[in-house]
Amino acid sequence: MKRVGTLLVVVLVGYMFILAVSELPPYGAPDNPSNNEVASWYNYRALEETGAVNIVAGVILDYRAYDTMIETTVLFTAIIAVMITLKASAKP
Amino acid sequence: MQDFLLKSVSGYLIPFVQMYGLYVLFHGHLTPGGGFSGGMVIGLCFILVALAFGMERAVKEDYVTTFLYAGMCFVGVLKGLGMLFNIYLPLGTPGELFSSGWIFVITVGVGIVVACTILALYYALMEEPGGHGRHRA
Repeated sequence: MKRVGTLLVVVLVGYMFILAVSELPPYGAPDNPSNNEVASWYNYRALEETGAVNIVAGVILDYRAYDTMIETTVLFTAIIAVMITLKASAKP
Repeated sequence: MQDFLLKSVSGYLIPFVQMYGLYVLFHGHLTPGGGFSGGMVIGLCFILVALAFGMERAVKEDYVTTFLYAGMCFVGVLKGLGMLFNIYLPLGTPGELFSSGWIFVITVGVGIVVACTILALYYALMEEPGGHGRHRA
């Protein structure tokens, strides 16, 4: 009974994902919403706005710094999970 | 493993590895590199010390998680401070070491976090189940 319910939930969620993916625009079309001016803005304005010669560092540490902060949180969480698993499996 | 050959070669090699790691870390906004890869090299240098000279020379066992917390708080608090109080660090001339405001400070924080992550992983894998903090040699 629990297996039937689990299988039903998995099939439903998979069907919703397939519905969402089928609505996406074709990859690389020139009038996509993702081909806006952001990429050229980063290329032309990164040096004078962030002061970093390395544009990648300017993007990940100035324009998208919140993502870097959350990524360090994820790294921290991963190492906590590993240490908990290894401490629990060690024989006292 | 405390071999004589490993100890003597590591004694000559470790300062250069640390210097290279600090170079990659501090020049994160000038050359390719930055926080994650620079912190990785510094963490690997600590692992080399722990392999050659034993774990006690590398780091005391209570300090690893402390530095991890410290790096995390460093990055998070500084982002919050810069956002709330609009503290403005000057953007110098590009190409200098202390240009580009907060990028340098956040890079150092991320480097601390990554180095302590690698060291904590090695420490968790190498700890003997017998005593607390005894190194499986």
